Amino acid sequence: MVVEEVSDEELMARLGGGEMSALEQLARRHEDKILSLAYRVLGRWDLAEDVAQETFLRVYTAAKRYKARGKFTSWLYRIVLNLCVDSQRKSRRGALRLEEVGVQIAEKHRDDPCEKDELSRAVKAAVDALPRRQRLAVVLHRYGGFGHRDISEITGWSESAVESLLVRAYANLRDKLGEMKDFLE
Amino acid sequence: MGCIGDTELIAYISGGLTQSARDAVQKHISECEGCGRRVEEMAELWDVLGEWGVEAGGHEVADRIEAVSATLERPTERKWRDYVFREGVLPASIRIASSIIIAVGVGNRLGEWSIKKAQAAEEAPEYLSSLRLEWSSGVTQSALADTNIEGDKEK
Repeated sequence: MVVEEVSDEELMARLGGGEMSALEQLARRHEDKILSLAYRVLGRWDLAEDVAQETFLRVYTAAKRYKARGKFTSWLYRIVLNLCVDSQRKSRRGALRLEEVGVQIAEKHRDDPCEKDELSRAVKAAVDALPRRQRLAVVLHRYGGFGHRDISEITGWSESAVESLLVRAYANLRDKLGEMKDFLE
Repeated sequence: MGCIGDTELIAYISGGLTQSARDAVQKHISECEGCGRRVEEMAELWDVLGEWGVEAGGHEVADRIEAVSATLERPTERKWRDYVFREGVLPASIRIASSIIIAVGVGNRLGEWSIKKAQAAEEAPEYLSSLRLEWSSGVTQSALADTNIEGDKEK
């Protein structure tokens, strides 16, 4: 028996109609991708979790007013990205406090099993070192799997701006990782 | 087809090209050594970037959302109170009302000020009296006053 998967837009319509299980389904469907994306932007799992949770609460709040004008995922990831930016702003404001607990944060990063590998850490460092807009573009493109047009919809930047950011970002990454390559080998 | 642009190269490696565009790029790189090398470099960078793996499982955000959703109210039709208090309608109407009050107040003050100025101007300047000349506005005023009196008489 083939079970037809309900579309995101249909789930939003159901949520708007008061069916709360639709929110849970949306959360299960998009949880991993949102967490990965938020983690890659923010560099901390605790902040990524907050962003993911807040994203679904915003989805719930907006369900009644939601109108499927563009892709649901573009709308969803716009929320994610805005929350990431807010989170970064808050982190900058609390920089002094974070410095005080810097040791714990460093420990937490060391414990991440996915980043034990030297090459993985080198790539993360290279991506983190990019200017903010280039980093966001690369995270959405390389790791989020979004095309130029989707990135343009998510970020609100023009398509030509996205293309230009990606070209510069990949050129920078090629230079940075080229320097590291000799060291890693 | 000419040499591949940077944007096209990125789209080719990331799988963002249509089949026909992809075929055209493939044909070109089989003939152009420079573009072939660029494609290889970009493909290598793409693979290296893929080494940054992230394991997002085990964070149980959806479980928490499920637990929280039991406590949330169902999204319902909005009531007038929602529009008034949540959409900024009330602050907007307060702002409009304040603007009107300020505009009326300022207009009133300006009116008073212009009347006072006009009254002050009606007094004959000293240099005219020193020359034993009558001030025209005074003449006009008395003429107008006469007209009014006559008008009153007619009534």
